Amino acid sequence: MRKKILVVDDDQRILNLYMRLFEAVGLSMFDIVTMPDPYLATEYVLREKVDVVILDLRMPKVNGQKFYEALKEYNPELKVIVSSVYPIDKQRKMVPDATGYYDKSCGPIQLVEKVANVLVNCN
Amino acid sequence: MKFSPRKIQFKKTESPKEKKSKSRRFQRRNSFKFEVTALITLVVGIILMVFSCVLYWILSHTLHVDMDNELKIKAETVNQAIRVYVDVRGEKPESLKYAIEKAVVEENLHNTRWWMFGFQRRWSEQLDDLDLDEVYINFASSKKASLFRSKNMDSELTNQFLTQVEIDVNNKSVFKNLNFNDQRIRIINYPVSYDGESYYCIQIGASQRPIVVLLENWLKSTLYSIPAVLILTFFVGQLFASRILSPIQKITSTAKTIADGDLSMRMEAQDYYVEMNYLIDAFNEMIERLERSFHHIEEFSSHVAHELKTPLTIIRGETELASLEGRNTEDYKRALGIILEETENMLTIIEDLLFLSKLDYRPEFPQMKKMDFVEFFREVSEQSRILVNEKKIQLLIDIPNEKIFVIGDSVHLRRLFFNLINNAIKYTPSQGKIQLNLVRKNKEVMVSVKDNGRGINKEDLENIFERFYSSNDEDSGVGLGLNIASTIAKVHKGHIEVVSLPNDGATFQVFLPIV
Repeated sequence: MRKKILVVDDDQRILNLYMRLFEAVGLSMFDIVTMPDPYLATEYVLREKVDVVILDLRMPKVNGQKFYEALKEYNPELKVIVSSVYPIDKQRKMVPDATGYYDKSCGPIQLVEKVANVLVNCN
Repeated sequence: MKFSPRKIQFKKTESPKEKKSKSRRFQRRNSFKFEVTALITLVVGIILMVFSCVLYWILSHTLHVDMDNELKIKAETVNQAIRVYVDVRGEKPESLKYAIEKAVVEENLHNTRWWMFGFQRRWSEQLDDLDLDEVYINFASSKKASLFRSKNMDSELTNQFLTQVEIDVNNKSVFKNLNFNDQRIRIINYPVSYDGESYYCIQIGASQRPIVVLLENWLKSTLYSIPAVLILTFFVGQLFASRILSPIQKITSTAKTIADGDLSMRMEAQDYYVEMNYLIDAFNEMIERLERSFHHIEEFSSHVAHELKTPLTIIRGETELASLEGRNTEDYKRALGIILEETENMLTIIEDLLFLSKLDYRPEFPQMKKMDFVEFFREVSEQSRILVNEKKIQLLIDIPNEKIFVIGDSVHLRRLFFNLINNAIKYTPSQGKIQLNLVRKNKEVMVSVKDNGRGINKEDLENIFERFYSSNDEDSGVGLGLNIASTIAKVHKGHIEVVSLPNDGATFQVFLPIV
C-alpha cells in the first residue's frame, strides 16, 4: 500500500523543491501532497488517510503549534515531522512531542532520511 | 630540568582585584561623599576664621575704647576735684598745691584721714571712689616737668611719662602709648588751664596688660576650638552624606543586577528625597526602554535570520537536488535559475534592511531639499505607466495644475511611491484599475494610490506597516516594502494611512507637510 506524505508550508518555493526532491530520490512509491494553506490541509487530513505530515511551524495565518495540536486531536496516531528554519532545540521547545524535527537549512537530503526513518519505524 | 609554568616570571600585570581596590582607593578621595564633606568643612572653616577675626577686632577695639573712656573720666574727675577744692579754699597757689598733692599722693589713705572733717573728708572719699591706686598719675607742667606724681611711679617711669606730654591747643585730651618694662601703658594727657593762662597736664596711665591677657586667652581658646569644630563637622558631614547617598548605592546594586542580564529588575521608589525618587523613576524608565529595545532587537534579528535562512534553504535544497545522480541539463538550468533568483532576493532583503537602518539611525542620510512636489509626482506617475502595461491595468492620474512645495529627498520619495504603486499593481487583477490622485489638504499634500484588487483583511490592516509583517498571501513578500514606505514618510514628517474593505480594493494615502 502506498504511503501518503503531506507537506504543509506557506512557501510555494519550498513545496516545489520538496516535490521534485521526493520524485528524484525514488520515493515516488509514496504519494506526495503539498498544501500551502493549513486550513485546507486540516480538511485534507480529515478526509484522507495521511501517514506522515511535514509541518512548517511558522506560517502567517496560523500558529504552527496550534495547528499541530489540532492535527493530533483529529488523529493521535498521525506522524508529524516539524520543519522550520528555527534550530531544532527551539522547535522542540515549541512542539515537545513531535515524531521528528527538521531544520530546513540542513538540506533536503536530511529530510528524505528523516521521512524514510519514520516510515520504516511505522512498519 | 622539569618545566614548571609557575616559575615563569611574567611582567606583573594588575589583577582585576588589585585594580578594583586601587580604583576604590582613588574613588574614596574622588567620591561625591568626600567632596561634599570636604567642601562643607572648608566653608565652615572659612566662616569660623572670618568670624573669629571680626570678633577679635571688635573685642580689642571695644576694650581699648573703654579703657580710653575710663582714663578720660578719671582725669576729668581728678581735675574737677582739684577745682572744687580750689574753689572752696580760695584760688591761692597753696590751695592748688595742696589739692593736687591730696588728690595724687594721698588718695586712698582711709586710716590716716580720721582727723579730717566736713568738706575735706567728703572730698577725700570722692577721690577714693575713683579707685586710683591701679593707675599712674602724674601732673606735668607745660614745660614738661613733673609737679606731682603718684606713689607707684618711680623716677624712671616719671621721665618716660614726661616724654609723652602733649598739650592740645584746643584743650582736648591726647592719648599716647608707652612701652615700659615689657608692658604697654596707655596714657591720657588731659590739659588743664588754670588762672586763664598757665597750662598743666594731668597724665593718667593704665597698664594694658589686662586687655592683652584677655585677648590672648580668647584667641587661644578660639584657635584650639576651630580645628575641633572642623573635625566634628567633617564626621557629621560624612554621616549626612552617607544618609543622603544610600539610595544611590541601592540604584548601583540594581544596575549591577541589570548588567548581569536581568532586565526585568526595577527600583522601588521608597521614602527617599524627592530628587532621588525622580532619579529612580528616570532609571526605571530607561531600563524599560532598554528592555523594549532589547526585545525589539531580538525579534528583529529573529525575523532577519528567518528571512535570510529561507532563500539559503532553497539554494541549498536546489544544489543538493542538482547534485543527485541522474540529473539532466534541464534540471541543472532550473536549479541555477532558482539559485540566482534566491540570491537576488537575499540581496534585496539585505539592501532594504541597510536602507531602513540608515533611515532609522542616521538622520543626515536623506538629503532634504525644497522641491516642486506636483512636478515630481507627475514624473513618478508617468514612469509608472510602463509598470502597469504588462498587466494591462488602466492608470488614472489626477494631478492639479498648481505649485506645491515640500521639503524632501526626491530619491527616497520616489521609492516610497513606487513601493505603493508596485504593491497596487501586485494586488490588482489584469485589466484592473489604479488611480493616482494628488490633492492639497490644508497644510499638507495628500497623494492617494487606489487599486481595485481584493483589498486587505481587517487583521492585516493594523499591522500592514510593521517591519517583516507579511500577510498570508503567497506573493506578499518579506514584509519590508510598506514598512520602508511608511519609514520614508515619517522621515519627511508625514504619514501613510490605508483604507480598505475586503474585495473592494485598497487606498493608500500619503500625507506630507507643505512648505
